[in-house]
Amino acid sequence: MKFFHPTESTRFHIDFTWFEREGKNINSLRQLLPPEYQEALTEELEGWVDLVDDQTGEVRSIPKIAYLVRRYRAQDKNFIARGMPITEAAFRLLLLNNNQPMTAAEIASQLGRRPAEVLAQIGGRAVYNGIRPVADE
Amino acid sequence: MPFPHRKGFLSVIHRQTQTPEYWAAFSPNAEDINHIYSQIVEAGKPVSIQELAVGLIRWRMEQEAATLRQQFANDKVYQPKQRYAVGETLAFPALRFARGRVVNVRPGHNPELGNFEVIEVEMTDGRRRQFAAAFTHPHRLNEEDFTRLLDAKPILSAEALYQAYGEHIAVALNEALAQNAEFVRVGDKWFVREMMVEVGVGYLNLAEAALDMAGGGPLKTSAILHEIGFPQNAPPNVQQISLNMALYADERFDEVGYNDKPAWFLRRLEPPEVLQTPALLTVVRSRATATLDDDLLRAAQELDDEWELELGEVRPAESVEVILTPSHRLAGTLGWSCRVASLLPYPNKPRASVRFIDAESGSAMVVWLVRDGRYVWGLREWYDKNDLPAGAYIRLRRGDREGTFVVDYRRRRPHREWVRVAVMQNGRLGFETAQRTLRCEVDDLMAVFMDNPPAIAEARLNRPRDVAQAVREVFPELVRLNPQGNVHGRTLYAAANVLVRCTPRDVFATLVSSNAYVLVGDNYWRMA
Repeated sequence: MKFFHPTESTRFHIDFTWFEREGKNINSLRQLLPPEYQEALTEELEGWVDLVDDQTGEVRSIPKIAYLVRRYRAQDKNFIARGMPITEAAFRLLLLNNNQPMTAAEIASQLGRRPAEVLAQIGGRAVYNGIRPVADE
Repeated sequence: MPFPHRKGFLSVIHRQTQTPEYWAAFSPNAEDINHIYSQIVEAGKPVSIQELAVGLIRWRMEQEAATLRQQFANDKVYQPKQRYAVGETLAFPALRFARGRVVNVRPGHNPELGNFEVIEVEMTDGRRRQFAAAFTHPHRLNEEDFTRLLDAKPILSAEALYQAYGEHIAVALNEALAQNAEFVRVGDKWFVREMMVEVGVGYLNLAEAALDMAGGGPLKTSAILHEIGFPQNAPPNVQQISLNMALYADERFDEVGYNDKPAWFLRRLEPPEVLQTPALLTVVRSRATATLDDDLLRAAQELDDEWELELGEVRPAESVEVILTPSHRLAGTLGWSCRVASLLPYPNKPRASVRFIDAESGSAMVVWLVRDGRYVWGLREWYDKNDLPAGAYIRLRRGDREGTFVVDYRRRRPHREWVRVAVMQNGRLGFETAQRTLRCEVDDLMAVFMDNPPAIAEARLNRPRDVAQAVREVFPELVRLNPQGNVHGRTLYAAANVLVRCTPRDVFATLVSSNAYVLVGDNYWRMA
């Protein structure tokens, strides 16, 4: 595949199919849930949840575990901790944002980092947790 | 942590006519030409290319709106609350009304949202996207009335689109109309041939005779029609257009009207000074390449020389006051400078004639505006009659009648005063201070009396000088008249213009680039 050079205005999202392609278990995200919920979690984690865009009505489907993480961590101010690696912080930010695509500049603004710094971490050839530029842009 | 702000809601219908790409690719088709034909017939008179282009843009916008309306009459506008079946075609208002066909319907899965459906849609670009349906929760697309968008005014009007992309449209239209025998160009406007009446050579000869009797002109088309007894079997405006067209095509006649109403002059009787720039007004450019500082540039600009004029910076005015310079006093002209242009804008024709009215006597004189030479010709008699020296303040204002301008000067009671006088002796220019009667107020720094203007003009033509030579010749003469040994830049500009037509910027550049002169401040100079 030809490498695409993203810029600060390129939008990124989590490509959840990346987990399967890389042989990684999406349900490993379970560790992101608060410990008390991890233990109490009895429901089936397989499957997808449909999210409805409040502007366009468009539906995006995300894995159920990603949906649960957002549901239980949305109000947790410590979920994205200061000093956390940029790639991990960006991944958690996209999870909280229902995986709505965000530019490197927007991510940087939310994380209090410089856009170039964010772009250097998530815009390279190495993919972290499926964070990639939106394919159709 | 707050969530990032979402981008604005795109509730506009994508209209191609609003895009630069659409107009960059514009080329008039047969329907466009038919529309332009109707536009001219409806106007009943020649129409400018700008008006035609704006009309055509508006027409194309209306066509597009009609097509969209028809398209949306067939399609449903997507709303999440509705249910849709496979095969239905939808338009998506939040996606710039992109269209797509429903290819699949399945139940939605979200424990927080309860029951709803997800439709899979194949968009016209081939991509597949999913949308919520039978979605009963509050959603802004459920509230909007999208049919109103079809009637909403587009973001850019036809006039605004012309401002943005008109240059290309006008060029393409002009080319298409020039190649079409159904259209005729009348001046800078277009008319349809079918509406014209024939003007035989006999009438053109009569028109020449009528203009001859009027001293060459200028005469308005209506006056010529009256003089030649043109048949009255066509509407007056068609008669005028037809005669105008015939006069435009005949080399004997020159259209010199200042406004959009044509006025005609016999070319052979036009003053030679308006056909070719007089030698006295031919600008000699300096070879000096010095860069002027801001103060000198400002000083040059304040002198309002017509060759310092940038046409884009002219602001309309009702009256203006300018200082008469020696070159124009000698040539009997006035510089068509920035200030003058603010009252008399440059027309899109090489020359035009207007009437100046003497403010005191009320008598009219025909003067000519010469675009390429940037001067107003025909004021010599008026200058002589009023004893106006170079340096006099000339006033111009709009007259009561269209196309007339009142000319005046700052009057004062006649009084003898010591003034700067230019004297030509043995082909050399000298300056002396002498007493002369002043009937007008003058700019003290720029006033130059010339007792024998023809002798100066002749000497100037016999021995052309460049700017540096002129400055070198006048500087010591002017220094001699001043006990401080200084000369102001304005005085140097005026004095150099006795010998050569030059711009203030070139005079200052000559001073700056030479070691012979030193700037002592406030645009005063002395010999090094």
